[in-house]
Amino acid sequence: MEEHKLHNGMRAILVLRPSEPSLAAGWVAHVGSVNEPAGQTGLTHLLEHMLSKGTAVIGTRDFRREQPLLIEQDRLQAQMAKLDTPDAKLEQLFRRSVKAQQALLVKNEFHEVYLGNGAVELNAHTDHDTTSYVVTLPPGRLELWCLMESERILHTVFREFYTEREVVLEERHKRIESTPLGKAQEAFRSLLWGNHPYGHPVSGWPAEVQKLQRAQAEDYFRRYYTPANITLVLVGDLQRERALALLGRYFARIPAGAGAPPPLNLPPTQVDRERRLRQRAETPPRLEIGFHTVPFRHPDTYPLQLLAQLLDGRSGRLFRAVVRGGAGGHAEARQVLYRYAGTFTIVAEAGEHRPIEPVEKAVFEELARLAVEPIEERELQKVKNQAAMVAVQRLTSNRQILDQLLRFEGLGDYREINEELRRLQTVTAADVKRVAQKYFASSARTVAVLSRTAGGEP
Amino acid sequence: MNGRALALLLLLSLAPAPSRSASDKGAGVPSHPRQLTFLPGLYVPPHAKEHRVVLPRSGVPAYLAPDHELPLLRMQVHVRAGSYLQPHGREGTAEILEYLMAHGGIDGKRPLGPDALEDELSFLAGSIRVRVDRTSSQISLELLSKDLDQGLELLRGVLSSQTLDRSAFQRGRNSLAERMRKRNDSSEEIEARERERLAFGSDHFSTRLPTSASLSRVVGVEVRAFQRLWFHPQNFVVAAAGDFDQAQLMNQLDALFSDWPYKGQIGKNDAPAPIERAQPGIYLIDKPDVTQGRVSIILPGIQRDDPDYFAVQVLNQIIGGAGKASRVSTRLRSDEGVAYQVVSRFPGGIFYPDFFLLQFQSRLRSCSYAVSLALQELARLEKGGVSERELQVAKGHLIEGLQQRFRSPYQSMGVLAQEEITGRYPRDPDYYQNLQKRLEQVSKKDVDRAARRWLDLRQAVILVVGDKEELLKPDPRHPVQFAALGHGAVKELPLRDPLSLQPLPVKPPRPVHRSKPAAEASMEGGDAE
Repeated sequence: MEEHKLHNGMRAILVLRPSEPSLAAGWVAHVGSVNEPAGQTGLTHLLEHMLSKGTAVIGTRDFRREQPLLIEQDRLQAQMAKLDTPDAKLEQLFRRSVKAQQALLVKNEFHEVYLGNGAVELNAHTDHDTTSYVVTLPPGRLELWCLMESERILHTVFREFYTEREVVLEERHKRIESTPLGKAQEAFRSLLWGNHPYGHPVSGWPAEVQKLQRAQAEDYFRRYYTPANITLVLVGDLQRERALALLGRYFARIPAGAGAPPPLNLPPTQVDRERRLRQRAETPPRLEIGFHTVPFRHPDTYPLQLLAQLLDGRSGRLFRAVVRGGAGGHAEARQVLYRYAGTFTIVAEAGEHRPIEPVEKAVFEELARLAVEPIEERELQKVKNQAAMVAVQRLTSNRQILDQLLRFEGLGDYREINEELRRLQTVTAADVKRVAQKYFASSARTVAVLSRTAGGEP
Repeated sequence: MNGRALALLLLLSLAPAPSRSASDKGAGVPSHPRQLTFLPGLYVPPHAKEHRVVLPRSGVPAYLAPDHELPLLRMQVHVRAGSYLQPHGREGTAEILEYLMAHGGIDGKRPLGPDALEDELSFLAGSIRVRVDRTSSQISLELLSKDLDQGLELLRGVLSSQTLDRSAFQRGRNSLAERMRKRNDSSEEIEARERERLAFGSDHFSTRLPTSASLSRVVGVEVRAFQRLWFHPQNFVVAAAGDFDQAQLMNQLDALFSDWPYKGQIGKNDAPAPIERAQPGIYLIDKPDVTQGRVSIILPGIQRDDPDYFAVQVLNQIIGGAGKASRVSTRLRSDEGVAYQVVSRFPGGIFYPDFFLLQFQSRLRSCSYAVSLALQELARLEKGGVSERELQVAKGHLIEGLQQRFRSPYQSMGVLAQEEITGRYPRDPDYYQNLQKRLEQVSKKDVDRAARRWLDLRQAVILVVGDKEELLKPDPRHPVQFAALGHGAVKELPLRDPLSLQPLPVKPPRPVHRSKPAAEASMEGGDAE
């Protein structure tokens, strides 16, 4: 694993792994929904969609003729956004403009070029802290990737913006509003985070998404998609010198611009009293519990991570207390890391038509026990062994290595892929007890009880 | 500056900025990706004969690939037996067997109860997973290579044990019953279940699902008897890759599979073909409280040995198999913004024809419009064929992507074992060696012919799951009625009781808005079966 820096400030991480005949390639922009301006939730995600729409030469037959139509569409949409009720004439003008534009487009050419070159797993992903763009290619297609990705940073055109705005709303319907738990979990998240920027959904609030304008996306793009705010990652069958030459030729031509935006100064996340929510959802009685913890690479992250493992899974304490104990049918725990914060969440279900209270009691008893009784050495060693296994498993393919590097780099430092395991192995039973005492106070928790009949907040 | 010049300046300042600066061309940078040319990617599939061994004592075929990059061993035992063999009326046997094998404890020289087995595996950070699929099964083992001896001992226990822990059996049953109770929670699950029923009929084994009645008839001793009948070395094929010495592993596997405690029957790969498809038409299932309709467009499918198989795979790429760049996705998503994800699949059935599926979701009011667009695109393909450009992109994607099926030794060994377990290996041992050539030979004529043969929309079965009342009120911008799509009146299918799977009463139509009576008037009650 090696790191290189281009003269415009962009960084590149290379992992030469010739054993697998593929190239897993991606890049992460250090911008997520946490960065969105007030009233513009969902902008990061919509921007991610726009970056597949091509450039001034990819996706169009004649950009010079297309450009005035884009401006016209912006103008019409700005007028429409000011109105309370739809205006048929403006909508007709807009549709006419789109139709004229479509005659000039080479639809989905950006994807088509990749597919014709054997790309698989072509995707992009937005979360609270990062936006990443990934693909797996046959080896030997590195120059194609360099051209395509540098062009979409350098010469991107946000065409079909307003249609894609509808598409992201469809995505939200699919992922959240038409799923058994989506809306209830969104409500839980809002309660857990309050007004903190991690509280709003990555896909944005629909009322705000509907009003997003292309000019806003372009401003946001210019601010956050600067070379110093982007890290490239290549994993696979590569030749170092050739790879560096291509990265230099294609990506170093991107102007440095304003550099990386400064880190955010976010409000604290502490909760001083228990917050509770009852919500209807398509589920047997279900408990979601959240605690605020610590951000990526905080020293307490590592005992918290092992503590989650200790509770989770079929051999974990929650399964034994909740499922074997007869109170419920399912229980899991995880520590979720963000760049600026962290949460520890527990989910547990009672069986259909069974009370949730015994499940809740069993969960809190387990948490309380962790705060007073040191865990036994064998149990600690078990979760350390599991951590070691996870560390090995995520090295089994180029794509898994790429995904891990992008994740850690997005959170703050790609080197965590090698350092995390070492830090986990130094955790002691006393560390685990200390973090259980520190973070799991009853006054610090947020609890949601979801069920088929619960009606709103108490 | 006159007014016109000022207006022009403003226009320029507002114009989208495709370039960050004029100096970013870069030396030697092509202006368009088509100016880059590449040698065709190397396609080097694994040869079965280089990896296949037959374990001398047990006679079990094994595909082995030592790979010392990581201290890890991954192994699958494929079994020539699936849920199609479970006794009629005792559906749930397969699921309980999965649970009992994985979590029910083991007997033998070193017996372990359910908790002790769980504890030992979790301490090793290893896993043994059991999956009984429709026509075959897999038991997979994954662990650090230092723990190989212990892992193989546990694997033998899981594969052959006949211990019957009553608590574990009850937990397995409870776990399945809990999953069954959730069957109507997700519109996606309802769609998947009813789609199979429409495509294969309610009497086909694949749609005979566990019910509370069938589960009550499943008893532990019969589950273990089912295991004895089918889960034995004569039905096994092994795939393994990782940090091991081949000769040593062969010895260990041979010992593992020898002296098996029971004899059973030999799997024959004789899963019965479906005999009953639903009548073509549009079927609707009312699922209130969702904001999207889920759509499945189903057509009769193909078997993998059909002469049209390769042309159909290219055709599928063009329809929806290639994601956003596919035809139907371009129309629904990029042109109209009425769907996020559009996918199609045209799998070649192994033992009987599978079915073609075009699937997407759209907001309730735009759903009928989205269906009309999708049908238009399928009709265009059937009548007008594909373009040369579409053909080249689709073939390029399939051919250049072939190597991705063999990215790791573990993946490769799994593919080879699957070839043997499904019976193609003896007939066509070089299938993967010839695959590139077979795809290259697909011509526009072949794909056009396949489109005419396989995209016969008169046979289309269209399933829509969503809030009926909203689905039948089309968006005023796209006032398309389902009943006007040329596939007859909409037939409402009942939602099924999640435990008995018996139809629940269809709710009577709710009051209809005056301006849109046609759709409700066209509804027909009843079950498709």
